[in-house]
Amino acid sequence: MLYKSKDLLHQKTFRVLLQAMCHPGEIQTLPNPHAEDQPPHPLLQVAGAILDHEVTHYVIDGVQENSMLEQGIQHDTKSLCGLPEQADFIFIPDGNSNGHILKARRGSPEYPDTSATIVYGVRSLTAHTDGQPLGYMKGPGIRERVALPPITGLDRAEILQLIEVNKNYPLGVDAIFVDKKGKVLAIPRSTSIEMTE
Amino acid sequence: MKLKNWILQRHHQNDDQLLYTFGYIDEMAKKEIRRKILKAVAIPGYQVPFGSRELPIARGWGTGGLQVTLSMILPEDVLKIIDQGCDGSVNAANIRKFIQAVTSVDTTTDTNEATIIQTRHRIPEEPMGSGQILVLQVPYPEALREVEPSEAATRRMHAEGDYGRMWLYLYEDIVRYGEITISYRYPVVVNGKYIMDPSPIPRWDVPKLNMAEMLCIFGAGREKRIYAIPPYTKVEPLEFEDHPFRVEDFTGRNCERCGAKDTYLDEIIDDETGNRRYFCSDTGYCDKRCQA
Amino acid sequence: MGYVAVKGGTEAIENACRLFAFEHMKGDSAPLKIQQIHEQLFLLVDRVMGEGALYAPDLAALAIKQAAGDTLEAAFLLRAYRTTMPRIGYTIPCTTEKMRIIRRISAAFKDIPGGQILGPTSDYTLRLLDFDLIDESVQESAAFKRALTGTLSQDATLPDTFPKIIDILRQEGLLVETKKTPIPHEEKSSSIVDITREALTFPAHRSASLQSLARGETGGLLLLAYSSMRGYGNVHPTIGELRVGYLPVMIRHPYKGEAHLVGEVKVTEAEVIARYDDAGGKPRFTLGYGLCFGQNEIKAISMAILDRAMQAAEPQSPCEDQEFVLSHIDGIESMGFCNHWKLPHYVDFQSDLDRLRKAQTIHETQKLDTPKTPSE
Repeated sequence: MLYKSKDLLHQKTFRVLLQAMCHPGEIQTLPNPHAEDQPPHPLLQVAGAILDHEVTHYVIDGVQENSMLEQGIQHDTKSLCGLPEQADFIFIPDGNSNGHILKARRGSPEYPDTSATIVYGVRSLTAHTDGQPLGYMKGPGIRERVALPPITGLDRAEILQLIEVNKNYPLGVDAIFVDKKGKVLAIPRSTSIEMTE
Repeated sequence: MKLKNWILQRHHQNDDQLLYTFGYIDEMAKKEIRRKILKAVAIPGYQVPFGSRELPIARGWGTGGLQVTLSMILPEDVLKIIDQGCDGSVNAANIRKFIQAVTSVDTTTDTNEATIIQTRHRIPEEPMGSGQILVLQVPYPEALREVEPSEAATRRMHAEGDYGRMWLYLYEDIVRYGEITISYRYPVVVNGKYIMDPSPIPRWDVPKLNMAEMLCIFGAGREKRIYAIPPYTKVEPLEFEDHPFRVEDFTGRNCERCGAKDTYLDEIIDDETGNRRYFCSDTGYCDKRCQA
Repeated sequence: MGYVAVKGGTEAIENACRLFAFEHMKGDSAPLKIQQIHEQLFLLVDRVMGEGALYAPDLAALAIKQAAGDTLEAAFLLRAYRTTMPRIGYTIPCTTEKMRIIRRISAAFKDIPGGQILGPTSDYTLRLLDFDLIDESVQESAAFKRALTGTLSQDATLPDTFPKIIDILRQEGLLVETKKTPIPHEEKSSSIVDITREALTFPAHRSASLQSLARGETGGLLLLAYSSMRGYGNVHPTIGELRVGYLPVMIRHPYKGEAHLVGEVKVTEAEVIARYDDAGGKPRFTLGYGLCFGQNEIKAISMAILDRAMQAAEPQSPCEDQEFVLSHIDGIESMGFCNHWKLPHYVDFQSDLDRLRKAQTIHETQKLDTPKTPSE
């Protein structure tokens, strides 16, 4: 039986995102595409699995290469650009939104699912090993509590803003972090984060 | 030009269009379902509306569960399908036939071997582990439908946590019958927030949802809702202090086939004597015990 | 007799399917041709296309043959097939002024600009069984066709368009204008909802409501509209215009952007003038609108009545309750769920038995605890 190999990559990528969302704080790895295909940019790979023309996106500005990301998303998924306060998906390739996520859609009490999903590009995600972590996370998907893993390329301020956006559960946003090597971490709005300092 | 020539020309230009879609549903439909599943996991117990495509299997026969499974299944998955606990029952057999036809995935009757289990109205007896996914087929996603027929009204009740009428309904049961009479579809509170319908699983299976290791995804195709319980999530049946939640009572009975005393039993009326006989509803588990 | 676990489900299912296929073959008659169904049972084909939500007359004819005439099953087959079709684009929106009319009437006025064109309809036939149809022969049909077309004048000019009656009412300020409402709880830029991509939520946008009605099951729609006509509602309809004809299907070239005609679809459109309303100040007539595939006038009229009924400011009857109407008119959903009761439910029933036995025990216990009455 023949099927389009691109479709299967999307499905595999989704399984990794699902695993990440079910286990906040646990780092997962995006699947590698077949050897003959050009490996996609990790953020584009995430977009490819879940975006299409029925949802809008917004890429938070920064450097030149972000307009390539913008074009890549439009080309690969046909998702159109929307305003940051309205977009279904917000991509932050440089890891810090500079307050933008405070304006992202948080959903409504009857339809909390209509909120935005934030996809952060960070420098690296590594498992927490020793020393005091930045914070602890509790909630669905976490047996008791888990340490917030170190996220290089993300300011502490950004995490504080995430906590702020999600303070009125079930309203809020769901965050996915992807590093340059294709490691993934997710923090759904159901997770409560307590900073240690 | 004639329409049919236009279509023919397109086909020749782009042979990729003719390639079979893995999992039957087209990629765009799957993306919508994937987005909704992620939202459902992020908001445990909340019903996410989704587009819900038609499938060659009728509404009411598991199209919601099917759409969830097909949007995430991979060739390396191992699939188990059960209906009323039984791998061989007609609904299970039909759905298995369909999924195999459109994915060629391996199937099993062994709960421990499966990576994805799609089920109608039962949770397997053997505890499922981290990394396994249970997909439940749901006819009525709305736990509050019993007390309120309008979707607009139940949406508001969930939004405001206004669950008084549900508690009143249970209380009236106790006043009238001395017990809460709800058997299957026993309402639960998820993550301390939403009242949720666990699908028509018997009371027996409700405790398996609390702080479970596996992910549970609920798919209602006809009603077009998806909801989920991530692993390690609190799931508490509604109960009163002086009328605690109780599972079905099989005291003094055991499975005639494997001898199990701790499983949910099917009651069969014997053809000839009219006597009652009891057998494990979870046939895969029963088979395993018999082979051991 | 030993009890054997119910295995062999797959084999039983396969045999059931084979037996069903056998049912339509067991007689001596020649297999039906798709062309025969398409041409001679054309109203059935139209109905199935409308309920299947796919304009494909030959496929509808095939579905009818495969389902042995069961319209719910046939519509289901089409709907499931539709799911496998990729969406390659959207047509350019079209008004029915461009319709190539075969029938066009108004009950609101005795005579209308363009005339009352009765077209092909069974409305005026006497409902007497025509036994001549039993032995209908090819020669007789050919002669009938020759006689009919022989009377037509080849020089007759046909009007390209017919004015819309409601436009005339509109120009005279007699019709209320329906407000364009924003799509609830979303800030999408498009102005219509797509019910094949999103679940219905309530209150539903009018575009979602009309789409749901357009693919609704004819009998179900008729039932609800009838309840309105009989008094469980306030619409008081008059058919402003009913049209049956062919609409051009135009799409834009994906790169050059020019419009191209790719075909035409037969539709029925009903515009129903309803009770007047003074919500916007000056009292005006309100309008109900219905449009469906094929020639299906009962459905289009019922749609229009329900469209108007559901706009009631304060719903009083079932047909005015938008959630009630839209939740129950899809034939594929309703038949699927009705059929699902035939699936095994023994685990759930077992749970019910447990509850009942427990409740009976409590009842017995309470009876024993109740003090005896003096007479006993």
